[in-house]
Amino acid sequence: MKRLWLLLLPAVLAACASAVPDAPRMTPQAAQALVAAGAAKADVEAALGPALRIDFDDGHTVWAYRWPDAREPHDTRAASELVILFDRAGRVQKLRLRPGYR
Amino acid sequence: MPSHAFRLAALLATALWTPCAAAEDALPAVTVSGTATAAVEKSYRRMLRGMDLFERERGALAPQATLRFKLLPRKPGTDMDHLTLEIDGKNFETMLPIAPDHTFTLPRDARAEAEDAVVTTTRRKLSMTWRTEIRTPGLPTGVRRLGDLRLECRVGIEAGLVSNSDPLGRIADLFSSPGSYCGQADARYLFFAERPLFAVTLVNGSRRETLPIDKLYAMASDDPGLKHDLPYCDCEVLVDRSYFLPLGDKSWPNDTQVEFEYMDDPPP
Repeated sequence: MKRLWLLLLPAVLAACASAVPDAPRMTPQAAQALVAAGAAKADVEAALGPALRIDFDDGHTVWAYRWPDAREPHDTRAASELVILFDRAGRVQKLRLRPGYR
Repeated sequence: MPSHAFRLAALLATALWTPCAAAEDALPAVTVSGTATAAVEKSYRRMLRGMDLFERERGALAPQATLRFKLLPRKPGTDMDHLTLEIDGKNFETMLPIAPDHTFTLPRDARAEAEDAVVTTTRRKLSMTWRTEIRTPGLPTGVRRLGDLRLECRVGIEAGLVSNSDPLGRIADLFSSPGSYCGQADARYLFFAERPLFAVTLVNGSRRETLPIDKLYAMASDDPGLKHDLPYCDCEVLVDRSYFLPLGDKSWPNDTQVEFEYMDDPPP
């Protein structure tokens, strides 16, 4: 019984996860170059498309764009990421580019 | 004390109930009672077990470190100042001093152990959470040591401090020893940084690796139902400070430095 529940739980949780937005059709470096400090969310979305979005209670927002590794498409460690922090006014505060690791 | 079977059933019910709002209507309602007004408390004996484990394992993981316990807010608006903390036995009470950073040490007291005392605060249950704080002195600001954090996980679970993590994590806690749980490469032991995080990077010599975003913010990037789930996570008001580490990945030695970039740090 215990094993059955443990097997079922990940399936239940996985069923609730949203699809990750497709990566922008450009390299991570090119995407990074399109994001200017102080840019508005609408400008970033117009340039790069929809992102993974995390809204915090204090008004900050983090957006992430993820480029999966072709050989390990489900391994987030292997994926490249562009992570953007928006301030409380919805403007780009800073960003960082994370390479994939293998 | 609820039976083990009851605790398991309650946790499974919670786990099935919480994953996302979309599933809410299809699942049976769960009634939780008896916890709203009880005080925050932990077992003195369990915390002693954690202290014993710290003494046994510090030589291997964190030889220069010291152990403190830490109180953290769990619900919005929790007043973390003006706290009182005490050991409550059947026949005595002992006040414990709390440092300005909300950490404290627990004295060894044979009477408290014999009376199966509790360590308790003046706050309602579920309004606060607990962690260990194991720090090697002399590290730069914004840097922790991986061996210290590995030991935090092991002592925290042995001491029974983590009572409400994500549903899968809770279930894993029930059936795992600190060694096996914290030794997993993908162990979901939630750590909390000092301030809201922007990046966490492991550094060992010339090797650097920044954690993917699903290791930050209580996995919020992979959980669109997080807001719905938060009341069941002891990270509820600490999401922006939370992170997981690859604790069981032996390719990172204990001396690995864990560097934090905070949201309010200036851009590099």
